[in-house]
Amino acid sequence: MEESEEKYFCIVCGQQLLAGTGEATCSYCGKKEEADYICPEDHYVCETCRLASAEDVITTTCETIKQIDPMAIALLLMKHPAIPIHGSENHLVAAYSLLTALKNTGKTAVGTREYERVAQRVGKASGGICGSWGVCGCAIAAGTVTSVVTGATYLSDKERSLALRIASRTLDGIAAIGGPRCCKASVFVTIRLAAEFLDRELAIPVHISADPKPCVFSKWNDECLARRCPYYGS
Amino acid sequence: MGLEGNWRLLDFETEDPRMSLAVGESVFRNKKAGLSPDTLYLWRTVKPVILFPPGSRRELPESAKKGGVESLRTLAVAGHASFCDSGNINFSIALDSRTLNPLIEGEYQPLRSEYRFLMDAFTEGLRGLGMEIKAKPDGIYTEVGNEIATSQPAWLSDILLFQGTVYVSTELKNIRFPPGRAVTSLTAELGRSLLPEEIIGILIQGFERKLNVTLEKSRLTGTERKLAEKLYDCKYSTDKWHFEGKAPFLSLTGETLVALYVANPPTSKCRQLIDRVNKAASSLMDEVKVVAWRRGLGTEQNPAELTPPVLVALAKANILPAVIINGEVKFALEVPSENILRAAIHNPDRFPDLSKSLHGLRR
Repeated sequence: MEESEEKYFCIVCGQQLLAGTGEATCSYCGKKEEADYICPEDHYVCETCRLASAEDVITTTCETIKQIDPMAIALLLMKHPAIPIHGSENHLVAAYSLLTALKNTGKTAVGTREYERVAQRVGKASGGICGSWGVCGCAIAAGTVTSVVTGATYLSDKERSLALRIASRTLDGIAAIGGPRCCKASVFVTIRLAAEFLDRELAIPVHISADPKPCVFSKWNDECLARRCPYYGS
Repeated sequence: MGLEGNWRLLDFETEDPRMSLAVGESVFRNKKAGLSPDTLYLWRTVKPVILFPPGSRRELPESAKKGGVESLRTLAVAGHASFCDSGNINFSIALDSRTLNPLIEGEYQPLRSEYRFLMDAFTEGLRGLGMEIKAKPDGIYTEVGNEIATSQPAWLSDILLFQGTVYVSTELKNIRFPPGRAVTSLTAELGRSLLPEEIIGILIQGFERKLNVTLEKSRLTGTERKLAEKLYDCKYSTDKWHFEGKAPFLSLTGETLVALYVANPPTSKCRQLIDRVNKAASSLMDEVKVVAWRRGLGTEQNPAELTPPVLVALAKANILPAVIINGEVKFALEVPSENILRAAIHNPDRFPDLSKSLHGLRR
């Protein structure tokens, strides 16, 4: 195996990486450092983020990113190699992408406490929960984010109903796609429906401009639904 | 090789069933590496044995175990345990399963269609004996559901290893299978004495007819023989494999496999590790294969090599960089010196396997 012959490609946009010359800013955590490989589009992933766990990548990225489009945040996070095609890590992606977009719009008070609460609750949704419990962790993410930003508890009236309704609608949207499970499609559905819901029910405008179609994750998914999935293809 | 499209009837005889299993796996691996033709290998054992796929231990015929019959673990992902003596014809088919696609008729069921088709290839010949039998994915059955052949499949992406046995004149009267499983023999069903030698030709003819191929008899290639001997030494002759299911995770063609789990693109630490491992292995290049697995790129990044199963655990535990030698994690989150790496590659057993303590490594 000759390391020098290897070609590397940008995890954000897929272009071939070039040898770095000078300082670059990490597309995930925002840190500046001397770049070894850099993308022609200026994407760069720092050494710390390349070795980071899924939880660390999601947390540090959402702390620093200024993006207001939750779909764009989710796409960036899911392109990171620490986020597997399938698995409970995707639940946190859905939750933090929504929460970060809400924070960045400036219309909702979102701080460390909100992030911690969401992580703690969503973390209880294990991998494979969709098939075994009949509840996808992404729907739990949508319900949790709504609950946290509205301050809902089991004693609440309207706030509790809102959390239940967003979770229910999201679940219905995920179920409509069919199986086997695709955690990426579940994240896309969740973010789209949650953004619409938050705008309509709480008057918090969450704009989505990034289009997850065609799905860039399809080639990594052995069980891709292909034409049965609304995000597949051109 | 010029072997594409040809089918080989393997000409190899041994009295040791462990060697027959090693030969089957060697051909399978070489087929995956593009070094072997599609192959049918028919073999027999003088000594009675139980051949069991992983997960079927509880099915092992108790009576046979008590009688001191050896239990040998096969390379398989499914199937039932089988009892084999000199009255059996055992088979080991290694083929590119894609070649079966145009031949499979009716509704296609992934895996099951391939298994049933191959069982049907043997059924085709056996029906000529005047028997009413039916091919199923896991064996061949008589009209009343008695099992007359058993299959045990294994896969390396599209390459299928389909092993099993046909009960010709097997001494089954003292063998009690678990409830619900009735095994019979051709001799018992037909009520006349049959010799395996008579049946071999019938199986071959049925196979050729069903697959529309001509089997050409030939021996193992040099690489197949070398790998079979290595698999025999480090796997099929060991109790560790047959009792615990453990064997060195060698490269596809049998070299010591040094797999590196690194970032994508590699960090400076990862590059340093790759460089040191390459230097440490440089004096052993014919016996060692170094393969880098970059996180997040899936199995397709090294299609010509086997993926160590422990990579999944490393990814989940976020342990990188790591050095995996013959399937065991030897170094994690560190860059050992070239000398230490060389020692580990020479003598992997002297270094502990960290696989069981991955989550503790991050603390």
